[in-house]
Amino acid sequence: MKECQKIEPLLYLYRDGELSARERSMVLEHTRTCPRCHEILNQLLSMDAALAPLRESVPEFSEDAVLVDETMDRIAGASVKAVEREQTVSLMDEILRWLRPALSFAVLATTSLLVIQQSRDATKLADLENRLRTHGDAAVSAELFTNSEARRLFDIASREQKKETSPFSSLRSATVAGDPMNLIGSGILGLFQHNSGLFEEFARRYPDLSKITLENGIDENEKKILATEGKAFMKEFEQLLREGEK
Amino acid sequence: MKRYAEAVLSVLIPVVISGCLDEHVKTTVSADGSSERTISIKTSAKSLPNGAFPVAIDSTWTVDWKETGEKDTKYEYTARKKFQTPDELSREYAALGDTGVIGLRVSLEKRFEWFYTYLDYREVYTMRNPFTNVPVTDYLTKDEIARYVRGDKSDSLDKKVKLWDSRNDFEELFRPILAEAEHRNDPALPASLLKDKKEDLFGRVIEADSLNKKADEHHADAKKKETSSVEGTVRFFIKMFKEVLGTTHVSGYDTVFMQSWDAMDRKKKPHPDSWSSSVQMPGLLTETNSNVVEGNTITWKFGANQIHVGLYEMHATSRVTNVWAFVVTGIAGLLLVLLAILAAFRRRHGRAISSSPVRRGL
Repeated sequence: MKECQKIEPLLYLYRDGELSARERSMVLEHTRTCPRCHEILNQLLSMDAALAPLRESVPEFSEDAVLVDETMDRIAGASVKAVEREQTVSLMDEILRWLRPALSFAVLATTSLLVIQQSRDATKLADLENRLRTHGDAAVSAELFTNSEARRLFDIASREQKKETSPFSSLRSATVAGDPMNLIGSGILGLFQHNSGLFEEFARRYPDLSKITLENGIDENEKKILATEGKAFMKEFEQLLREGEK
Repeated sequence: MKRYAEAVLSVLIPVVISGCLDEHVKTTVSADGSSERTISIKTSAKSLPNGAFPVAIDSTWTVDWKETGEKDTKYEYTARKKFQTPDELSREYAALGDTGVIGLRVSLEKRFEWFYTYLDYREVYTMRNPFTNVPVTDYLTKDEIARYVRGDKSDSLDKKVKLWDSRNDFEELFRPILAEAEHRNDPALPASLLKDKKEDLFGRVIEADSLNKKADEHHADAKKKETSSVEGTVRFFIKMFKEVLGTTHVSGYDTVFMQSWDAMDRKKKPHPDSWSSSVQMPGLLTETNSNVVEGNTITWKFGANQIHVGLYEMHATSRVTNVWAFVVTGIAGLLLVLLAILAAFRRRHGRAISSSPVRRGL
């Protein structure tokens, strides 16, 4: 069997006449004793004998010249396309090699920028909100009215009260007494009538005060408003008049 | 003494004349950096005090006068102008020059930072003090100046500012008198004596001023009118000179005093009493030094006394979102993902080809 494995490849070469004399004698001697290898060799030789006439005949291409040309053209075209495709692929590889890192860098940079901007602005906003929450109300009192507005307010208040003395003293007593109605009843309505802008400004800041109707007396709800917004209003009004008096 | 005190009040008047006028400025900034500025002032007459307002009013501004119907301020002056770019607004105020009573600088800067465009608005007011013999830093620290300018109205600060004002006024009157004494070279009233007694004189003025204020609080306006004449003030100063310097050789100094007084008076120019400046910023407001913020509108209010001491600076920053920048970044991110998928596909396809039987030659 080992001999067969060694001889079998030589059988094809024997048929093709490519063995040395020593190898030929080895093959012949083995096929004489081995029926399997002998059979293979016989089949190869008979197949070769059957194909011999076909090998010798030359095909006539003249009648199929067009077909041959077309086929050749197609083969050539396919080759060109294959080359082009290969070139395109290599160009795309080249682009991808640069585009991917460039895009990665751009996206990373812009994302980082966004994070930095958001955190920076959030800090600033928090500071601003915090400052407005802590100082905003006080600042509004100080900055809502200008000095001359406060002076004008003081003048109007003086005229309304028709007194030679400072209106501040009576206003202060009204505040101390804790009843803003003293002031409202003693001229503040007239004050607002003479200065519509002033009323609008106060009404915007103390919206609940406008709910109070003096004509029908004061109910419980109105008392509550006076006790809260009324007091805050009085405090600011007093401060403004103090500024005006200065 | 009381009489002196009443008289001296007319000396230590505010260094600048305020016309009890309020100037309201509204600036509306758009997202593209353009802006519109509206200045309105209510006045009793249909005219503005010459040079009182730092407004470069020319034909490019739309000026309008209307009647307010109010008793004290019958007219309202309005000037309006649109600025196409931030630079245009800055240039308008940079061209004002330094000759007016009020100095004003306005700037608007646009900063592009991809996702957001930031708009920085800055406006700085200052009053050019005509009396600069004594710097304010002699009386207030930098911190105190900053506090006062930002509206700190504590009594201690107020007193210091008034003392500085008084000192400047005093110097305006004292220096010509000293120069006259040096010129005369009179042994009866030598310049050296004036120099030696300078602080005593100033102390007496302050003392008299303080007494006068107390008296003023208890007396009606009629009293004030009676004693607020220039002649009364001159008499006070001459008598005070005699007492403090211990000499009667002061003849002719009343004329010097009157001339100094007139010179001081000429230096004083009218100006608004207070300002209100509002700025409406586009986008999200991120920063401002104002404490009055309503939505996107920031308001500052300040008086002449504040900018008389130092620079009043207003600033606000807002950011405008660039939607297109988010879109472009999103597309780039998406493209990156697609490229990653494509690369993975190509790698897999390559492996498949290289591992195929044909490629292996079988």
